[in-house]
This record gives sequence, C-alpha cells and structure tokens, in this order.
Amino acid sequence: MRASFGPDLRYGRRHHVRPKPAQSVDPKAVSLWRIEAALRVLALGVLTLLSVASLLTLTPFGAAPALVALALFLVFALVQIGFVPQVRYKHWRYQVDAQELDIQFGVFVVRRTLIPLVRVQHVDTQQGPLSKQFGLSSVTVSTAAGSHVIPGLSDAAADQLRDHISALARVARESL
Amino acid sequence: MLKALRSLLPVLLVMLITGGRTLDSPVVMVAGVALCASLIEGIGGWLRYHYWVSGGELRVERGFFVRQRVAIPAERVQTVDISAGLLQRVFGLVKVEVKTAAGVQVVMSAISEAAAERLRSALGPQRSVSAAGDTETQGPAAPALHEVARYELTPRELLLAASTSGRLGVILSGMGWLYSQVDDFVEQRLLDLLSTLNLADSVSRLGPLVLLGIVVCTLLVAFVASVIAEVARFGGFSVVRTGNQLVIRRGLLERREVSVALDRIQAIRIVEGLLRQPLGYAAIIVETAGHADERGQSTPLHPFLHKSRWLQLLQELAPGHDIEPELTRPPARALSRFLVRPILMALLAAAFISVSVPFGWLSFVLALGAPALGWLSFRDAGVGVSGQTLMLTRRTLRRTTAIVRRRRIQFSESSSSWLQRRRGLADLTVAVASGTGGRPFSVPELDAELVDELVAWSSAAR
Repeated sequence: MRASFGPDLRYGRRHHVRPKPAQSVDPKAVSLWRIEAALRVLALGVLTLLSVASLLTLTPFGAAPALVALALFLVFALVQIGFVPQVRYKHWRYQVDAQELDIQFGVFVVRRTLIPLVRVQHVDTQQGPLSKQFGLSSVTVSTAAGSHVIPGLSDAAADQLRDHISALARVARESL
Repeated sequence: MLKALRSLLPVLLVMLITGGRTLDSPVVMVAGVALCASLIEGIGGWLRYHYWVSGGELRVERGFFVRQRVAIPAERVQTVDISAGLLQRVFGLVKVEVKTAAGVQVVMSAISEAAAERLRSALGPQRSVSAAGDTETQGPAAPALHEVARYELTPRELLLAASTSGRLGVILSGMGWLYSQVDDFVEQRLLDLLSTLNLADSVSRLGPLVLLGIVVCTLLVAFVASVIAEVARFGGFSVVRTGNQLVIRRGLLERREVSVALDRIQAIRIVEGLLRQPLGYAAIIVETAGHADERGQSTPLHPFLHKSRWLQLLQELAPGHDIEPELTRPPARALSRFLVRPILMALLAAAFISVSVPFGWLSFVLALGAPALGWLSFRDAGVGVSGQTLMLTRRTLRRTTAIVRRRRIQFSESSSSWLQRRRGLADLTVAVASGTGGRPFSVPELDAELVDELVAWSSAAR
C-alpha cells in the first residue's frame, strides 16, 4: 500500500511536513472581533444579570452564589474580549497557489482544509455593517460539498482574493 | 390532474373547518375565491403543462396564471426518479422527478409509464448513442444497449434484510408518540375494564409479570411492523446496469425507480449494521449530487448484500471504486482515546439514569458495553489508498466504509485537538457532493503525518 502513494508520499517521514499557510488575515480583524465579542458578551451579560438577580432573591445562601456567578462572567468576558480575538488572529492562516486553497485555523482544535481549485463552484465576498466601518470583508469559497469562509480581510485583499481564486479555478478547470 | 386535486386539498380543509358554522363570513368568501382560483390553476396548469426534449435539453412549460419555462441541459441532469404512489398506481401513472446538482428541478406528478421511460432514455447517458433529435422515434422502453449486470433480492434475503434493518427503534418511538396521544383515554378505559372484571387486585399481585408481558408484546408488535415496513420498502428490489446507466427499482406498494449514470456516482458507502455485520451482510449506498429519497437519505445501490459479493458488485455497477483490503489503522497510542470517550459518556448516562429512574443503577451493567464499543471502534478505524480511490472505514455503532475516487473529493481536512496533537494524532475528513449539500467521511485518531499526506493526496492535481 505504501508504494501506491506515489514517489512524493512516503509517510512516517518528517521531511514532507507542509509549512503553515503563509497569509494572515488583516490585523484590523482583531479590533473587529473584539467589538463583535463585546456585543455577544453584552447580550449574554443581560441574561447573566437577570439570573444573578433571581439568585439573590430565590436562594437562601445570601449574596455568595451571585458574586461567584458574576466573577465567573467577568473572567469569561475578559477572555472573550481581551484574549480570544488576538489568539484567533494569530492562528488564522490561508494561502492560494495554482492548484489549491489552503486554510488553517483554530487554537485548541486546529483545522486544516485543502480545497482543490477545480472543485470551486463560486466565490463571493460579504460585508456586514460593522465590518464596513473597519473596511473589512470575508470571502466565501463554495464547493459542491459545502462552503468555507475566510473572515477579516481588508476590502481590497478580499476582492483580489475572490478574483484570484475565481480566475485560478477557471484555469485549473480548463486544463483538466 | 392528480396534482390539481392535491393542490386543492388545503383549501378544501379550510372549507371543512370554517365552512360548517359560518357560511356567510368573509373567510368563506375568500376561501371560495381561492378554491376557484386553485381549481382553474390546477386544471389550466394541467392543460398547459408541456414538456419535450430537444437539442439535448429538457424543456418544460407550465402554469396557468404564472407561466414558467424551464430548460435543463441533459448533461446537467444527475438522476431521474420515477415513482408511483398508491394514488398513481390506481390510475396506472407515474411521477417523474428530474434532479440536478441543485436539487429537484422538475416534477411531473402524473405521466404514463411509457412517457417516463422515453424521457429517461432521452436524458440518460445513451443520448450520445442515438443522434440528436432521434429520441422521439425510439420505441417506448426499448433500451438500445444490452444489460450488463443485474442484482435482485431473494425472498429469504428480503426477510432477513427487513428483520435486521435496525428500524425497530424508529417504530418504537412512533408507537410511544401514538401512545402519548391516546394515553389518558386508554388508561381510563383500561382501568374501567379492569375494575368491571374485578381483576384490579390480581393485576397488582401479578404486576411485574403483566408489565413484562406488555413490554414483550409491544416489542413484538413493533418488530413485526418494522419488518412489514421494510419489506414494503425494498420488496421487488432490482438494480440493473445497461450501458453506462444504473436503474434501481424498489417498493411493493409505492414503486420507486432511480436511474443514475455511472459518471454521476460521487462515492460508495458500505454500511454494516450491528445486527447485519455478524451475518456478513451490508447495505451498499450510492452517493449522488442533488438526490435524496423520501427520508432525505442517499440511494441504496443494494440494500442487503453478502460481503463475498461486494467486490463483484462494485466492479460491475460502480467501476473505479476498488476495495483496498490492506488498511492503515490508528496507531496503538490512539487506543486510550477510543476508550475514554464512550466510557465517560456511558458512566455519565448511567449516573443520570440512576438518579432519575428507580432501579436505574441497573444501567451501569449496560455501561460495561462501552469499553467493548471503544475497542471495536479502534479496531475498525482505518484508511487506505489504491490507485485513484481512497477507502475510509470507521465505526460509530455500525461500521461504515466509504469508497471515494480522488477526483470526486471536494475538499479534505485534517483536524486535531490539543490532546490529539500531544500524541501526534489527527482526524481525517474528506467531503463529496451528496444530496443538495455535501457528505463528509472521516476517520478519527490516525497518525498526524499520515493524515497530512492523505489531505495533500486528496487535493493534489490530477
């Protein structure tokens, strides 16, 4: 079976470890993700406050459980706003070459996806009202088996990536 | 016409519900107008429903108030389904669904069988054999090419397939739902009956025995029902390859006929159910784009086939999908990861059941099965490459083997958690087009470097 992998594929060897995809997303994405996280946390905060209030009135243990819940929530909020966007940015990578799109992201669970450009059905860019303020867009690459999103690219980079993938996909398909 | 009648149903229902009481209310007026409109639309739409095949395209014109013209190039057609429900069979008609990768494009609710057959051969892969425009002159259901292979189910296989289908749970939950609907009523009647027969105290004495009897009877009824349902679903099964086209037929009451061109096959899946695996049988499933059955599932290429014939079936019906007997298994260091998750889940579930149900602690006995399942999942996971096909095997409860050709892989992925990376392990996923979305196939806990190479292999230029 080993032989059937072809000459470039001998597994169990370190030398064929593929380097990480080269491109990072736009550094401004960190600020955008911070604000998005803050909005999410705010929504969750309202719920937390309500449940804390009910804890105060309903349980006989006094203020202790409520304070613990509040402290936990504050830690969660700090991590979500202060820490996660930065780390997420650091680990979001992508790269396009003539044959495939290579995406890698995730901190605890790392996912690496390769999409052959011949399989790309369409590419689009999107922009929400918030990301518009930052001049950021995301690119969605769709295949017949689902789509993949590259978030937090500058508008220019997103447009360029979209056109680039689209052109390469056409070339790859024609040369098939 | 059937379609027209059916589209009237909701309006008729509205009439029945509201009409009886307030005959002069505006609701009835609106309903009346809607009824007339939908009657005209139904009959008019039926009168003005035209379809034809010309220049390698299926053309449809339909609708009375809103005219719609549809054109589907034959090379975009993924599958053509012909089915006949009870209503259609009464009239000797069939329903045709033409599916492209974007889903169902054209539904003809009631056309004659011969017309359906003509349509299918016009849209099938043989279209290139007959000159363009020649399709009209071909006789009904007269395939120009000879039959390459045919598979059927013997009555014995059909019964065995039906009784090992594992659909008992579905039927049981259905019965549970029914029971919950009539619960109060039945319970009251039962109590009344018992008290009139003066059996109440003998029942309480025989309580556990009666309970056991009821459980056994329920299971028996559910089992028989599931067998009957499966026999009706797969009775009269056959799969035939003529030229480069597969035609899969099944169903006793509701006949279904799916035709798939060989080059439309995205992947093959071999599913060995928990009950079927010891017998050596499995269902062979074919994944096609845009297609799913009444339950949203992919098409069975063969519902119940012994492993000694898998290879032959694949060679004859799905050439290019080879079985690679020598799979690479997860390394020994992955074993603990296979064991930990089911054991933890089982213990948690058992603990929960113990707290909430009397005698629930008995479920800890069942939890003993978890390590066995973990071991089996470890032993059965594997991946192999032969030529241009990738074979992936894994077990959840049943064992699933996917056979995917490299050029059908839409994307490939490696995914590893922090705990996996510490041990140099990763999960492999490849996805193919199936139904209107995609279907991912994955193998857990493989050697991380092997996964990297397979991901690269899957997406490499070819």
